Amino acid sequence: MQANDSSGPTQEFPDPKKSGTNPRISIEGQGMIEGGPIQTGTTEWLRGNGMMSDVVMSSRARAARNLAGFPFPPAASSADRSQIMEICRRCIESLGCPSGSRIRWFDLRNSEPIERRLLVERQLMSRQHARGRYSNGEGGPDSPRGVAVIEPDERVSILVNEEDHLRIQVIRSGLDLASCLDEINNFDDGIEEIVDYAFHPQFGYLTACPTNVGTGLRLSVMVQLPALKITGELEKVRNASSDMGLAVRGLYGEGSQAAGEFYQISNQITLGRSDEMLLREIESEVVPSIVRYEQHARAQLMTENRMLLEDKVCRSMGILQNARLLKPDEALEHLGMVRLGVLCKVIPDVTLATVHDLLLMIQPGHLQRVVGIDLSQSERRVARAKLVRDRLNTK
Amino acid sequence: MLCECQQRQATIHEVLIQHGKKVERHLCEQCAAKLGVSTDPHMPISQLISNYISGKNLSIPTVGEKDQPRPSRSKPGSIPPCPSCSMTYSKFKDTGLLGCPSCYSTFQKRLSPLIARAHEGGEQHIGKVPRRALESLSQNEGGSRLESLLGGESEREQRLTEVRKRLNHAVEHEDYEQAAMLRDEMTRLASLPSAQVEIRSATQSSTIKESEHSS
Repeated sequence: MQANDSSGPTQEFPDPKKSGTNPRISIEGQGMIEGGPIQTGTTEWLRGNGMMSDVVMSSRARAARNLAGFPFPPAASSADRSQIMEICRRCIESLGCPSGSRIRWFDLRNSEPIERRLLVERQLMSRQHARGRYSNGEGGPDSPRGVAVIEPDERVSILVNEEDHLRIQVIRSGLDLASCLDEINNFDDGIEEIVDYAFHPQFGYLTACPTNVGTGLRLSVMVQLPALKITGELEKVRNASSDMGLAVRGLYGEGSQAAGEFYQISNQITLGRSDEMLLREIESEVVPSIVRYEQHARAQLMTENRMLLEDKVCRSMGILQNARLLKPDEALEHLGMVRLGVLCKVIPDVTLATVHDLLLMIQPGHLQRVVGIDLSQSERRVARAKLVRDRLNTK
Repeated sequence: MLCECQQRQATIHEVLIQHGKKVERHLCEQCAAKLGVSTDPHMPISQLISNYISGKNLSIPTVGEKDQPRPSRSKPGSIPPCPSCSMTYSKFKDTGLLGCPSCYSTFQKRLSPLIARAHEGGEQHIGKVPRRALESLSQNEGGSRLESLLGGESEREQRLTEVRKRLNHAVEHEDYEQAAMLRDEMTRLASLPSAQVEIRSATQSSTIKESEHSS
């Protein structure tokens, strides 16, 4: 099969060992570390720097790509998935990475549940990929799939056999989708040197779900909008964004309620708009106006309604400094408010780095890794409360 | 009531919730089929959900007026399965997932309106094209398709200026890793308008039979 899906009805999937087209694998192994411990320290996207980082936590770009000549993962047999995984793994291995960094490959079939959990919490892969079960009910924990992570900054991760054969993801701190996109293109071009992608002149890059065809690109920005929540103007932002074809989702927690007022804004449309158009729309138009909106609300709270702001922030701080049992959502909610307090200079003796670090550490996988033993849910609540108390009661 | 085409009676009445606003459409069977609107008033919930996922808009078909003939149901067996992976169209409608790249050609007629709805009218890919696909595209046809794929020249120029600016910034700050990346991106962008010239000398590694995709 060729660089698109145009093969005639009689053509079957080629045997990659015989076929001259796909996959063309030339392997000059530059070395890839297999498995091993996942870092638990802070990660690039939580660094709290970059453009508009008072409101924008992180920017993320993701490209969905599929190899020509193979069924998409949800419809593929386990043997097919194994073969696809091997091709992609070797392909990633041959890419190499900049000096000072290394590629770590996780074969998720053989990985510990805690390892998968950590990868999800660090936003290096999706929950679906951790479970291995596709939305059509196929697959399962033993389904052949993996993820390559570029360490130590963990900016780039490449998911193999998620809903598509390859999903290249780049995540950075602050508003910087342009750099994310550049980096994706870099890896994308490198992979394309070796394999033929499934491409269609009308539909663009072909994906398992037709909602991703075209550029296959999802650009998303994580913002924290606590002041707009307090002033009751959050709905306006949601409506304005959805009118522009962008989705606004709560980042943590299920449903529409977003603990800590962390939201993800991302494009829904991938066909008929180029990557440059999408980039300009989100990075130069939509997000900056949302950021200004939130900044304005914060300024207003600080000058006109300072007592309300201080009350909310200090109550949250009080709970975090004294609670003996903490659920993840509750911890997130109050950490979100404390983050606002730090930025509005209501809480002088806590740094943004501490808050960001806690955002990661309170999550079940990280908590377990830090404490070092298997904990039940109620034990985790105790450990979480203690961790937060210790970090916030510095005096 | 007449259909939007003003030629036949409207038998399919669709209520769409778009951006929180109610939009009503009245269509005849032919137009409905063309636009990919389901003519089955008893749509199973799984299909409704998958339509919702793929179409993003909640579409509730209502039963036609009583004296109108019931629109014929499309038979699930009427579309042959994908020859490459034996995925059927009805299975796709249940799951919202296609089986393999060939499914896009197999079900192109049915998929096109669905995809256009999911992408708010977007029907033609614009933007990045894999290098080898670009080579074979320009071997097989004129520049018009290429131009539409790559987007307008002014847009590329704008992006090029932007990347150049960031490259200078990276060099000033001695971020050579970033600089190298931006240089590659500039090369890619700059090579696009003149792609056709380069391509003549490129190897014929793959061919795209464009005739199968004429749309």
